[in-house]
Amino acid sequence: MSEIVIKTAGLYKIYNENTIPVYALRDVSVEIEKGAFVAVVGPSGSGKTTLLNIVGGLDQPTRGSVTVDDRELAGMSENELINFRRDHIGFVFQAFNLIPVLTARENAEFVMLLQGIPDPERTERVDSLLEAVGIADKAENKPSELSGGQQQRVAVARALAPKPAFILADEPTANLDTKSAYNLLDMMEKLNKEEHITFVFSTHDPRVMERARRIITLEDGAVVSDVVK
Amino acid sequence: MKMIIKLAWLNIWRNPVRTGVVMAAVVIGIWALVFLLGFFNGMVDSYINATIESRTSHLQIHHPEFVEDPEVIFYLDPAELFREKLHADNRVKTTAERLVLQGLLSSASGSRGVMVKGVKPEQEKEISALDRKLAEGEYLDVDRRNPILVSKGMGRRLGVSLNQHLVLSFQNVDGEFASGRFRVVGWYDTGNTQEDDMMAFARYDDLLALSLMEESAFHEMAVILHDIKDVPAFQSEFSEVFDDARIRSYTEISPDMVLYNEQIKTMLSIVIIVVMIALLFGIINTMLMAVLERQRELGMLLAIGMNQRKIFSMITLESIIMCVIAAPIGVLIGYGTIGFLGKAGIDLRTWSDGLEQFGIGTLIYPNLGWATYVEIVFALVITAIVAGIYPSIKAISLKPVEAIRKL
Repeated sequence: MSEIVIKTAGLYKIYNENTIPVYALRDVSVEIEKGAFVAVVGPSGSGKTTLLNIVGGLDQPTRGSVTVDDRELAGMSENELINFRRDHIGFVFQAFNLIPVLTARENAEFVMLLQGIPDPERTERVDSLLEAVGIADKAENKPSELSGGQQQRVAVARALAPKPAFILADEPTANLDTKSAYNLLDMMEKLNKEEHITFVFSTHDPRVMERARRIITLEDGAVVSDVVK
Repeated sequence: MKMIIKLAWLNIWRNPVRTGVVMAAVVIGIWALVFLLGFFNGMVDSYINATIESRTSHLQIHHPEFVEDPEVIFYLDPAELFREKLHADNRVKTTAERLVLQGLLSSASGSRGVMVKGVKPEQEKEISALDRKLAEGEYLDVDRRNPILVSKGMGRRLGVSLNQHLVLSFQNVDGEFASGRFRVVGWYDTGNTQEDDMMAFARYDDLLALSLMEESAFHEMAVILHDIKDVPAFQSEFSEVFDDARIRSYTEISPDMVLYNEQIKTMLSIVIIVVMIALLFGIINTMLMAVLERQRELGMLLAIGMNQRKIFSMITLESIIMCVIAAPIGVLIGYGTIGFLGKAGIDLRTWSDGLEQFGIGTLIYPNLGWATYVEIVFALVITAIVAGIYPSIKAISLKPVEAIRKL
């Protein structure tokens, strides 16, 4: 049996619980294995981003538990969570979210600097990551000098840098044109297949859905289907 | 840490205009502080120097009882002995002995109480530059009988003009009434009109003859040292040498000098605090704007694992870096201004009447000790740190999940 990297059990996220409760997540229990290429899909407001935020340790569930890499997230202090995210989870955001004053290379090595990984190990890893995401020739460019697709590649390189247990990508192709979106997906799929890196996407982009090997569908905060292709 | 410094440095140049404005405010603030402090120091010095020159000297020697009760009988003698002992010490620059009489100056139109100092014209040139304080007329070395210098105000009140006569009357050493006819040869003006209107200067020899004192008697011996810093040590040493006389320093003779100095210092501390508070709010405002503009990015940094301590350090460093760059520029410009004006002086002749009331000269030479520069820079660094704290707290209290969604 494959190793489980993410496990949620009976997850609820309820806003305004004491007045007019709004259920963002209802009893979500999923397990994601190492090496998975999973898309969490559903209409707007179905709870995709909420689920990713909770799995990524950015938000707390109202009830239920999240285990990442065999660690229970509940009960961690704010700083413990920050360090846990740094070391175990890679994030790729919809709006790229790079540090605008740093070059592509500096953005990619940023998390490793936070981890205190020394040179030459850091430089070697950044070089290989920029190569892997196909952006090595733009290493010294600032985000403002890169296209959306190129920026998202840098974001993927940054997410991969600390060798996380998995990468959470919240609508990574939403702001990309078709060609860039396919290029990015090709690159991520390659990393998944060759390096066994786990990817969890939230998306309603059919381009992503057609590549995903497992699709978890949410509606009104509940899992309505979980299909492995 | 290197990375945080680099990031803070790059962040402050994201909006060069805003950073420039803050740094310009710091530069101008520091420059204004340096200039103000230097100017007020110059004013204090001017007041002290003017007082020392025209009133107190560095030290004065009197009969012990004369200090409490300035009667004509409380004199010291012989002057030569005192002079000899004083001049044997190489810290002494110059001395002058004076007679000091309380008397009445009368004219046809009235009379006024006055303190008349009997001075030796040549000595007084050296010690109080009395000859250079004439608004009009001639000095006491004029070849005339019984010359006297009074202030213009006194002349106006007594209704006399130059070269007219006044009668000075007082008690001589035998307790008898003595009087003499003096000719007003000049109006003197030390700059302190209040003091001037109560004083008059005549020749030592003329007053000695009228008061029937010993040949070389004196009421007051003024002493100027080469270096004002030697005053306390010199005073305590010579208090033992002249055990039958009382030797007082300029601060004892004119305690208002110390008070004035203290008041100015207190006022300057308030000025420093006010300027720093103004800068504090300016920097907080800018840093807060910078944090609010970057909410999404700060949320992302928290999300990918930059801990709160590092984010706090980064924002605080941004505030400190701005001040650390701007402060030396402000200090340098201030130093240059003080250096230039310290030589050239600031001419306040336009306001001379008001200033002279307070005994302050009309040419101020600003100066500032290095310790004050250190104080200003220290105060600014503290201000920068304090200014960085609130925006930093704001930054670390962001919830990444909410911040990332901010536009």
